[in-house]
Amino acid sequence: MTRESTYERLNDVFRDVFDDEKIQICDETTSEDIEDWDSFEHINLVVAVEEEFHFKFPMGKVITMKNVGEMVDIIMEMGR
Amino acid sequence: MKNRKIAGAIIFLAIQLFLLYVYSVIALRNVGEDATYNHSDFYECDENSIEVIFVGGSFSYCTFSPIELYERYGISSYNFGTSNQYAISSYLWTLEASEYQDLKVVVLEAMTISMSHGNLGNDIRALSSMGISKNYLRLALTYKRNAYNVLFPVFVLHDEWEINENTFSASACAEESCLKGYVPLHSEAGSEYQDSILTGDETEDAYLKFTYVDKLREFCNENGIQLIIVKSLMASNESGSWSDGYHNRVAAYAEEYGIPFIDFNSQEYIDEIGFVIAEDVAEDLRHMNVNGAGKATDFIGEYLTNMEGLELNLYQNSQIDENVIALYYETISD
Amino acid sequence: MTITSFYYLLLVFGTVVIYYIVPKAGQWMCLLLASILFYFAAATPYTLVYVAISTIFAYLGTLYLESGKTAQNKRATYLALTGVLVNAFLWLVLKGSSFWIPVISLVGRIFPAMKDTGAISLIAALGMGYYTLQLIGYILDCYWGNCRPQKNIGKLFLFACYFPQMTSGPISRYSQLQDLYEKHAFCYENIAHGAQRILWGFLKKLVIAERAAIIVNEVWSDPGTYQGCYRWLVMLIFPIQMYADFSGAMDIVIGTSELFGIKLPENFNAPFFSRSLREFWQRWHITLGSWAKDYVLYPFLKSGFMVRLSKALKKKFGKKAGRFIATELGMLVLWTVLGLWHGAVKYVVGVNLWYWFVLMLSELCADRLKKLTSFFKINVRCIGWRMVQCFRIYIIFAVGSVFFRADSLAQGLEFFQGLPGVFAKGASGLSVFCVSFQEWTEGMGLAQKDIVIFLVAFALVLAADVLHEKAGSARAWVDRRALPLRWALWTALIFIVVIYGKYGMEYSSANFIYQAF
Repeated sequence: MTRESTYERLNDVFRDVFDDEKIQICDETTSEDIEDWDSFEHINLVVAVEEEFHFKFPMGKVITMKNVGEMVDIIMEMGR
Repeated sequence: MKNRKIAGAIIFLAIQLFLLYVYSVIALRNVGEDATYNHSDFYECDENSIEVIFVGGSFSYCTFSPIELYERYGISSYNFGTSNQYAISSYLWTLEASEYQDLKVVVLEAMTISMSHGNLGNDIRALSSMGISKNYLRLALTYKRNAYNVLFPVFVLHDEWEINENTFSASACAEESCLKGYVPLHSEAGSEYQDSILTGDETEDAYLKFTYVDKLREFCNENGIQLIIVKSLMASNESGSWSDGYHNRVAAYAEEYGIPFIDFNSQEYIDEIGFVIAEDVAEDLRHMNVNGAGKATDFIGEYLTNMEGLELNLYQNSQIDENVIALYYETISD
Repeated sequence: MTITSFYYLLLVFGTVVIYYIVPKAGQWMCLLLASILFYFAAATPYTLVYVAISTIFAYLGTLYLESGKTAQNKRATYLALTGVLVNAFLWLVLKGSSFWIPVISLVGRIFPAMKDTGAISLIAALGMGYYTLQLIGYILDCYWGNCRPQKNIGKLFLFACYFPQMTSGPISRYSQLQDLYEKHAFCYENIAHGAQRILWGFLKKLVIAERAAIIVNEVWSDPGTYQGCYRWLVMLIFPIQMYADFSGAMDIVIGTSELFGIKLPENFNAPFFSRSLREFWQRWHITLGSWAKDYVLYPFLKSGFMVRLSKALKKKFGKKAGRFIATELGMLVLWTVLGLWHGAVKYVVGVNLWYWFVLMLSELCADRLKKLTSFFKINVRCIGWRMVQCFRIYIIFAVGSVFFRADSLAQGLEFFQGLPGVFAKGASGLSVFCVSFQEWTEGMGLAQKDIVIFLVAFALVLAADVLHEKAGSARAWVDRRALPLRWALWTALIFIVVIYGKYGMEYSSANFIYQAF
């Protein structure tokens, strides 16, 4: 699993959850950058990511993740 | 830089405290717009011209008329009665009055004895004409937990606070100054009320706190002032009013300390003075009206004139002349 | 001792003085002492034991958790779980007692012999709803490795009973209150800003909330007499009273904490300016919603059970509908928990389920509404539309708040039944259409002067909130003005609070609406 391939798969998840084909994420992307990404959609996103990469985010991280870059770090560490 | 800010803050706070004082003074003046609380004209009386003062609640201010007392007996007096005056305020007014006048007699209305202290709002209002003075501030000694309310009475009076045309005039509401604290009532109780409210039962008793009556008594003793306790005439004694129990307890206290106690409700006094309850008590059945006050004042005048050991300077008050007396009768006839 | 009393100010003043005199290492102990003192003055003293018990279990619950890592072994897990459960249990027994009443009456009906064991009314600790959530949050945060367990039980106890938060929150996270244990040097800005904020809180509470309460209480105390237009008036005014009351309390509390240099989280963010209902709940009682989101909603939606259910729903109803149902189910749980936290059935059903229902509806209709507005070419960014949105939200909130005010679900429902008769006459026999507005309100206990003051104060608060929205902070705006203007403004505010505040011996000690939780 490389960082690029992770980003590809993750981008698809984002486009799916937020129903927007134009989304393009990068390391610095945060909830400010995507209109529908509020605290409620956040958990849906998390669950979708968990499903895609077959792992479970530690509960603590769900609240403290700051940006997509951090999310990718965790995926690379724990997902497959 | 920081020190300047702190100094600025301290100045700001000082200004606020000063303003609180100003608001309080205005608040106390507002209280005076209710004539029954307004005694600011006392301070306009000549020094050492008043020898007798009346203290107590509304039963005091309805019963004794200083102008009539002077007109007929030459005794110069002032009536410090205020609505629901508690004994603590009667005591403090006595202290205050004795600083400006050479008092010889204090007449305490007996109902006040049943209201010792504990209602700060009432006391602030009763003493409002004193302003924030030394004797007023003595309230803080009693109401320790509410000392801040005593210091800045605006906290207690803020709901009625107002600035209007009377606020800055020389003496807020001095219209009734010819009355010298007396408040005339004009209605009559009606013919159903004939009998005294007392039954003469000497076994009844009541619990009364004499804390401030004691202080008043001691003050009078130390300063050579004669204390007299008088109870005004009433037509009916529903709960909270005068009763045989109260009478007996006050009588016992008075006897113990050698204080003259005159209860107008006792049959002997009704007969001696010639009270007619139906005509001398107002329709609220509790306060005396102008007729009754006239008789009561006459009685006190006689009593004081004939009192042994009491030397009064009669007809010495130049401020009460025929104009004042005429104005007085005009005012109470409305 | 309520936080709008003279003695509270005295306590705060005394604590501030001592706080900056003692050696900085002992400052937290000064706060702890002040908190205990406050507790004894403000509540039934022995109930402090409950706070202590909760703290002890929270301490034990995190004893074996290593900092920074998610719990590694079963022992740690069980201890943490015990900690959470004990806290929740204590809360349930002491505060949730109103739930036991229907249970006990049910038991009484099934087993007539047990009918007379009435519900023992236990006195709960002050601020139980608040500190319980804080401690549970602390345990979970440590369990999930988000923060380091506190080894000093005294410091943990301070976290639980920190006096500004005791009466009405805000509900802080453990990581947000690390400042409690830090050293604080005297800083003039903190003192000035804290004092200003406390003054602002007094304005909202004593001038606005207490004034509104006069009519609201009058109508609610005698619903038989007051029908129709009276109820409409009161229904529309009560949200303002709640906002002024609660956010005023927050101002006093946050301002107090600011005096010590400790920043508490905000609980309000001009909620009535919200554009959508969802946004409203992120601006009203922020810390409660945020706590429930992080510690209830997220774990629930992330749980294995929900993930499986969500998958099944998506399969059956399609992706979009399936996700919608799953989310709304989570929201239902969230709102129910919030309702339970408030403590009575009426909250759960009347208030919270109503809000959940409306939220769900608005989610459902969001797309349709978008189509409608573009069809009619309504400019959703213009101020007119914004005001329509605000108005809609206000009405929805007002309806829910009726149950907040009512004593029970039944009384709340009865209130709505009386709304239709707009021409109703009140106690003074006055119908709103027959007399001037002034006479109408005087009949309920408010003079014309009161209404003017109310409107002036309300305008001030509105202006501040607008400034806050546009410029980030009304206080910063004031700070930039020249000294005479600033002093005049603060002096005027003090004047308004002292003269026009509803306080003093005639008023039952102004209790806060949210103090009961």
